[in-house]
Amino acid sequence: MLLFLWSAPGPWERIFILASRDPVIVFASVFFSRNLVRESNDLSNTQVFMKFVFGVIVLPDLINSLYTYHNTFVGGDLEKVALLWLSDFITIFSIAVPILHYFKP
Amino acid sequence: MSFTLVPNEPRSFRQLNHKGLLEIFLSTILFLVPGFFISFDKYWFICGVCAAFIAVRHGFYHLIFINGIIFNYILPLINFGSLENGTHGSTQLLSVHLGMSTMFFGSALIGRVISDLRNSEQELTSHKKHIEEMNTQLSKANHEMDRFVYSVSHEISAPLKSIKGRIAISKLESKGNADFHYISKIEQSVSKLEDFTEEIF
Repeated sequence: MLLFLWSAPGPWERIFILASRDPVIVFASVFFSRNLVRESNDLSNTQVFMKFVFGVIVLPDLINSLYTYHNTFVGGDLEKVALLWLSDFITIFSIAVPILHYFKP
Repeated sequence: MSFTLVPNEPRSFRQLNHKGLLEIFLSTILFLVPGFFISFDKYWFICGVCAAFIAVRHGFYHLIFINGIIFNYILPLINFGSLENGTHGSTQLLSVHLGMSTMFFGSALIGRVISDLRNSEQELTSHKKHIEEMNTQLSKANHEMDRFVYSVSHEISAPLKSIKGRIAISKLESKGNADFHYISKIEQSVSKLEDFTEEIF
């Protein structure tokens, strides 16, 4: 809706794909966390920690990179995509891991 | 008897031990001081070394404290200027980001493995203590049973011997008598009982 309100350029299919980025990433993250990290709700052992990092951070971040590569200002520059992926990884990792431990759900 | 395993991993900031906090403080200073003299991209790996050191020494939870909170939020704020000035071009920035990602993940993994090993060690120690307690109880029970068996053996064998003595006298007195046959039967039964008690005790 916001993209329409802001008169984003391109056909509605493109706007739909652009708008689907956040829901898709959130859905992927929730899906992987429910299917991979079922046995524990904190990072209490190495197996859960690894599943959490790859399933809940790395894979959704890779999906995000697909959107970044095709639909953002980077314009297909793989080096910038990698840089954004790494930045996102550091940020998500550094926020999610302490929160999951110190403010255990 | 039941026992529960209580992991000694800290679950809140208050539970971080003083020694660990002191080492975190020193690592922070060690990371902070070079920032006044050299650019960030030339010494960022020092925080990786510090993080690995903290991970090996204190495990996962001290590690995520220093990694997630100090190295990722507090120090970059202080070193932001040097980060911007020290990185010339995206390739260098990419290498710094790649190194930091590897450092964050690698040190966290080291910390997690160390904490797991400590938990396993604590679990094994608890099991060992439990087994030792059980063994002590078993030894006590065994000793008590030996005493009981000895006592029972003595209490039964003495009357049996007395009975056998009286039977022998009765047999002498009843020779040629009709009772002799019955007394012999009683003697056989008593002998069987005596054999049985000897076998058991």
